[in-house]
Amino acid sequence: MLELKNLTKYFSGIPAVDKLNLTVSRGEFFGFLGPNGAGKTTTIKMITGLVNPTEGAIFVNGYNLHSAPRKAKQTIGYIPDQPYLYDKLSGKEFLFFSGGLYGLRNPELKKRVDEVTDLLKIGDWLSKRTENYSQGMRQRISIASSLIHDPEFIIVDEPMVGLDPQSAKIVKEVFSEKARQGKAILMSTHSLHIAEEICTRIGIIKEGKMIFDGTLTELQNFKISESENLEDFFLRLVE
Amino acid sequence: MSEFLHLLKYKAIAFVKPDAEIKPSTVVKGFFGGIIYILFAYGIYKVTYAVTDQMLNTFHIGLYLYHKFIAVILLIFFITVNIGNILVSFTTLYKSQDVLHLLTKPVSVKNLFIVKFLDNFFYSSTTLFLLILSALLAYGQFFRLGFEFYFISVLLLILPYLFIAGLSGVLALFLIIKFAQKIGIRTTIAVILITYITGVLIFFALNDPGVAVQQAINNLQSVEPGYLFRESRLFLLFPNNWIANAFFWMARGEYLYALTYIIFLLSMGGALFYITVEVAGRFYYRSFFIISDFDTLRREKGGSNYTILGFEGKTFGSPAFNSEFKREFWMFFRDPVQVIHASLLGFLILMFLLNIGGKPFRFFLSYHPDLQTIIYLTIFLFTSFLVASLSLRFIFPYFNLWGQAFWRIKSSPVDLRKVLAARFVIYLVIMTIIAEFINYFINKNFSSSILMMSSIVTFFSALTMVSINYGMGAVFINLKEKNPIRISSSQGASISFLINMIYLVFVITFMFSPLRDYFLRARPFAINTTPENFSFTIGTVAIASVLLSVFSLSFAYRSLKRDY
Repeated sequence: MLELKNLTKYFSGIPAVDKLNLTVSRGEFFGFLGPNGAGKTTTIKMITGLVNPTEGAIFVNGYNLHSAPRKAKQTIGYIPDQPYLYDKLSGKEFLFFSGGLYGLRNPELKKRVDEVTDLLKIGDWLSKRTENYSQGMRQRISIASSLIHDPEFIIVDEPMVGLDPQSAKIVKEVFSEKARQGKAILMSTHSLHIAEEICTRIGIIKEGKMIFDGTLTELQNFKISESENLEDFFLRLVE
Repeated sequence: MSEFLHLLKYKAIAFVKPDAEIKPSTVVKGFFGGIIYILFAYGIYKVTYAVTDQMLNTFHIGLYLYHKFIAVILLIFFITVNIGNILVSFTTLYKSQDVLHLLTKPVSVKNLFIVKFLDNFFYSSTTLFLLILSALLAYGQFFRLGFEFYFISVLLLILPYLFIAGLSGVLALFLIIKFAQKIGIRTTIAVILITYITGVLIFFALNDPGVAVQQAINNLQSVEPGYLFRESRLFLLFPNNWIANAFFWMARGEYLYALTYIIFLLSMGGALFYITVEVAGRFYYRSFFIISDFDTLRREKGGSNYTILGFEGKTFGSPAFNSEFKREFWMFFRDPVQVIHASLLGFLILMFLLNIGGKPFRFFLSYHPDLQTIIYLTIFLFTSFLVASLSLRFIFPYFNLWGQAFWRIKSSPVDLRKVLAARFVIYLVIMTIIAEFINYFINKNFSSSILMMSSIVTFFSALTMVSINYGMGAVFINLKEKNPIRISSSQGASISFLINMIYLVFVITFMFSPLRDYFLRARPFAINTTPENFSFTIGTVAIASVLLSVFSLSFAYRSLKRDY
């Protein structure tokens, strides 16, 4: 679903991402962790087409992002950390707008809007303008709009920032369900607890390089002692 | 095509929808905004009609020269839209959240570009359209032209013309980015500015308005229409002349002759649109990456806090003032859009001074007091217009640029009134220095009484325009918009600008009569004469300016005290 081959990005001769190799397959929920400035955001921006790699290649569902960007993006559902919505549009209008960008037409589009509305439980306030939404509501609309075309690969950047517990629970359930359905998910997060709770595989990036890539059980094996908790271990790893 | 229409449809929905919550203040703002627009449109109509009447019926300059003046005015519009589009396109095409959002979707880059270009073009040109439409109405009324004139002039001449200006602005922007990637941003900007200014200077050397005025003075109204066909080919390369020539024929009722120019203009517009979209298809996405890399590098540079104005340096004044002043200073100088625009306006002022300032006006050779007064006031108005533009561009967005960090000021133990006053004084001092500097250069060859009168009026004009933009910036505050160029092209900014223009009309109205008397008595040379009746003008302007300033500033204070 996602394949990064020697992905590299230099800024002023300094590598922000350094020869990153990664594959996220169907049904995998990959937690992408790392301290601030490790290269997570740059990697995500490269995968979503917002930053051009210096070297390397990105394949999404078999499409090379560089040579076939539209085909690759057609299969991606990207959820940014700060949801971008058009203030003057209602949530429903925004979903219809987003569906149109992926080439969906009515009545299929209407059916998809109903489906994501139920999935994210946003029906109650869907007809209100997005300018009146809280952070949680905005994030749920943003997620719904990214799932409207039923993407094969979902990329999520810090999805829990500013979410109330109810929204956070819904969001976690939605992603877990998508992974069970066979979608590939890459989620960037700072929270080890969330990664521990919902991810099936974890990658840790430091100074642009992947320093760990494995399952949660494999990660536990790196601990010095049984008493060391995961958080202390993570901090030791990225120091 | 369906994707393009889809993008356009939702853009239109978002544009047309009114605010969700209609507050009384919004209604009041809209109402007064509408009145100001109407007043301005009416003012432009009256001025255009009166000037046309004066030039043709009083000065008898003839249709041919009158349309050459129109060509020069059109060129100024072209430059305004062109430069405006370079700057606004930069922020719209590369900095907007909308673009970041859409680029992650499977959207055609060409479609995205066209939608953003149209958004850009109409967003930043609304006031200019209003101005042109009012002027066209006056022109049509004066020459008693029918509906077909308005249809042709608006849709087939002016719109394609401004479109050409906008498109060439975007092409210039692409070129700038391409060069910047090769030779660095600063060198590129310097090269582009020098090229642009040289181009404009060469143009004016070839089409000197001063020569045109002297021709008018020599009563060249008898130039026969056939002269148009014998103009230099180089001169005819510029589309502003095509419109002026088309107007010339339409004013004479000979529409068939105008057709050639309409075809020229539409062909050029169509070709340029095709070229720009094709270039955008190949380069826009790549240029987005270039800008994105530049931004990352700029962000990584961090701060240079060891300078005298650094936050770790000496504290100026009270700690609150020091914080606010340094924040403003660094935010301005670390924003490339602000620096580029300020440099550009600086160069334009310099160019203006090199061309007009410091030299005796050749135009004054006419010894005609009416013409002398009009020319003097036109140049005075131009100086004031510069101050109005600077205030609009750099002072109006001030409160908006506080942005989401506004909470920091609102929740701090600072006296908001003092913060506002300190910032106002700084802006006023800067603007007054610029305005008085230009004013001195323009007036230094006149008598001391004229110099003194213009200096005092200039000070009060600067005070008022700074106050209006400061006040209106607070009234129309939008903390979500971070882009200073879009803020200064917003509806609130347009209203602020129109108020400035109305104020300036008021000022020059009071200057006209004593100046005319002065020039009348000063014949043949306007020097060494001491007019006695400037005091009424100065007094009236001073009182009106102070009242307007106090009103604007108290509006700003009250507006910022409300809940956000």
